[in-house]
Amino acid sequence: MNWKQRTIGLALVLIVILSGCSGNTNAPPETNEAVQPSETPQSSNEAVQEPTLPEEYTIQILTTQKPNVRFFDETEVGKVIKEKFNINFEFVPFTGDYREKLSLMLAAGDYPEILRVEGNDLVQQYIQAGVAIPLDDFLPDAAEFTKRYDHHIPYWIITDDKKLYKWEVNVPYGLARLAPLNDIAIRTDLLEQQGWPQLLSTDSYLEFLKEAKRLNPDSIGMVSNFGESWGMAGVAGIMYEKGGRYVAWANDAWVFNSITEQYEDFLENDYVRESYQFLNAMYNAGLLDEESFTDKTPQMRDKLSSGQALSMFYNRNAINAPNRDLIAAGKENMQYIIMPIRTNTQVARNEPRLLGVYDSDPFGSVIMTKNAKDPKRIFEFIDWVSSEEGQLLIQSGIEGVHYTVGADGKRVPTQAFIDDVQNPNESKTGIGLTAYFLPSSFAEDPNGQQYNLAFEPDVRGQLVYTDRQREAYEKLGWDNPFSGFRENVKLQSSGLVNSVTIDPSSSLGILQSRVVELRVRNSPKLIMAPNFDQAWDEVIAEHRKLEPQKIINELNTLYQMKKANP
Amino acid sequence: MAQTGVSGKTVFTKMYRQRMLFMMLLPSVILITTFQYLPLAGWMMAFKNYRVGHSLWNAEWVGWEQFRIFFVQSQDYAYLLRNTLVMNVGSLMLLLVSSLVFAILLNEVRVRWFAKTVQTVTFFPFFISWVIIYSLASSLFAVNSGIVNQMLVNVGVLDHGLNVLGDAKYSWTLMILMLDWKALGYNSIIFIAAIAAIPPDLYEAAEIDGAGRFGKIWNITLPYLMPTFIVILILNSGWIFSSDFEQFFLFTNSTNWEKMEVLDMYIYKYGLKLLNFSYATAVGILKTVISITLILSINQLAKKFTEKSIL
Repeated sequence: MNWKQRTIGLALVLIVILSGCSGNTNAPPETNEAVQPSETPQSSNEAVQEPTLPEEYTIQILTTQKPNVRFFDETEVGKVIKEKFNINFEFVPFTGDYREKLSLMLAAGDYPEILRVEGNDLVQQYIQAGVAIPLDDFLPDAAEFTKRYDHHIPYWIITDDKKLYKWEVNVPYGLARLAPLNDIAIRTDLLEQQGWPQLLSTDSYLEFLKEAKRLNPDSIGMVSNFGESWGMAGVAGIMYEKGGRYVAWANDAWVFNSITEQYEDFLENDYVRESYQFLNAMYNAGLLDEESFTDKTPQMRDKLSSGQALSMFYNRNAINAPNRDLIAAGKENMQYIIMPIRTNTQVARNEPRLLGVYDSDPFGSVIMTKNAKDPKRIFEFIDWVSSEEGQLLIQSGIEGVHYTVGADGKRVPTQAFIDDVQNPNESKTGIGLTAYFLPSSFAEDPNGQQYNLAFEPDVRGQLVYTDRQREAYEKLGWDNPFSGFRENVKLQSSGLVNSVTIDPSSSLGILQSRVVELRVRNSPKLIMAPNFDQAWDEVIAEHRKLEPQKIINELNTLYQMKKANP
Repeated sequence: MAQTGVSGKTVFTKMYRQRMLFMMLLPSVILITTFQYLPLAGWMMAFKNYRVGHSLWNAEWVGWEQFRIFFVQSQDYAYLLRNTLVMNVGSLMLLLVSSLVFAILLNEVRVRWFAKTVQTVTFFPFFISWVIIYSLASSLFAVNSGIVNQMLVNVGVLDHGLNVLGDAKYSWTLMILMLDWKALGYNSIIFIAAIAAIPPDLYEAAEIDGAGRFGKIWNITLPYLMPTFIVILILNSGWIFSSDFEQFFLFTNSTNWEKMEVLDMYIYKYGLKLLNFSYATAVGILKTVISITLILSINQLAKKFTEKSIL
């Protein structure tokens, strides 16, 4: 073999080896470094009090939302923040199972500087792994943050070391944010066909939808998105939250009785049973779309957009886009509205419905990870965001551009704001874009207005609801699209409920995941069973074999301990 | 110059003389060692109470606890092994037989351009990803909106669409047939190549002896294909407990999991979704050990009954 052949052979071998050993290109690029330290500062009209800004700091945000921009400074609000702090956010969209992504990131040790972690169980995993950094050292210099969240911070402390590792994005809550509720969506033409009936109990809906199906035989009945990763766990038994005793604080193995202040087993709950019973009745009557078990939200939306579905179970926001599609297709009268629903027992008891006001909403937990290059600077920014100025900017926009202030001190939205609300897909204002990861109060400001004007009842009623929807609610006897959800209700604070957690790695934590797994697996069987009572008894028997009461006892013990030692 | 005898050559001399061949082999050896053998050190997780983000070395030793949980506490092994074996054995058998028959039939087609066209067309599904296949299956077989169901209901064959994608009773058939459709063209190539290697004078001799087409197939083609069939069977038997993850990830849902969930999905669920790495590793080890035992056993059986084996 001559030297040429040897050289070629060697080169081939080296190429293969080098290509096999190439680094992982899947990880998001670490773009947090100050890339251009010599870049001319943006603000040529400098703020007098800050003659020089620190280096540009771009933070990657993994998001399940679909922002129209890649960088926050492409929006009007983002530009203001960039000018003020030289901080920017790069949005990295993610589709898929986000909880799974969080688990994978933790396992791979690959996470951004700020990370939204949905659920205290995962937050604990991140804390135990030493990934989430404690925020206590920053609190003495964070007057705005501690003032705004003074009431909530104790609920955010979930570990035995009593340190704060997270903030939560959408607390506190105001009543305006609580309606409409995740109840049931009904096609308005069906209501019109049957003379605008007053519906509330599951039986009344069942009879109504039977008649609707008879009058509209080509429809596919009620749809839902059980195919989502949270679908079966979170939606199938959800009717328990529509009564006067429970709020849906979590999708775990328990429900919390706000009257007795006790955790109770999820599957042993009567309202949960009624929930499954309702879905079972719907299925056996041919009123529940069989594809619901595998449909995710996009498939469900398609069916709503085509007007095929008579109704939709849960998920109040899923009707907005379909309603727009129906208008575009010339089917205005087939738009959907959300209506309240309760089980028969709940209607009979007629207890005021509990509306949960989160002192702690673990679903919106955000942590700073050990990959944060300048945690102090990040938290200074978080502190500013928590101020009145910050909240108004990120939630209402720029004064004079997106809103004006009247003589009474109340904000009035401008046309720019209205256009932004009505055309979310083209939005470049950046208003509300950061509510996913920055502290964003859902309560009222000192003037009694929502920080985000889009949620002011009179604004929302005019901007978000269509003429047909307003007409439907009026025909049902409502004063406005929210009034029906505010009758016979009572606000219920979450208190310590979401702060009590079981270590997910412990034997009880593993047992809890098994209990939930058993429920999720058997939910379709319960919904589709020809004989519901028999199927329910079988599942309960299997459930009791796991001894779930151990979990409940532990939770109640921890709750009492926390209550005694806040 | 006296020739060096075979007995005089050392192993190293042989290796040196064949160094180019070894160098060609080297990248594969490095890749397989790096990505298949080195990770076996992670099997330690199965014997420790490993928690994500913490040091594996410092984790508590728990011995066979995870294996005990799998077999004694959870009882999941029963339906998992059943589903995995039924679908994988069914797929393997159907695929081998159908590929063999397809190759033979294709060989019998006299119009060569037609045979080539059919072979090419049947090869295409192999390159289609399971994501596309799932979308197609959903469009075709969805209960209410699927084209096939709609057609069958409209012509009166069915009163109501068949829930092929959701109903557990169709799961095994669906998966076996889908895999067969996807891999038929690819697997038949191996048999087509084997048929091409059969000496043509055998067929001529058979024709002289009065053998018809079927006789030639039965007496010449099939016996010549048997060694290939056995080799492929043995090689694939080691994969009996491994499923195409993408396929099952897409098709498994809350309504058909009882018949559809296989070992790989179970390992994924407990390992990556529930972060119970120790448990998932233990199940993975069991799968590997059983697969190795199986391939060795089948190899021995094949050697004993057919005098053909690969090990």
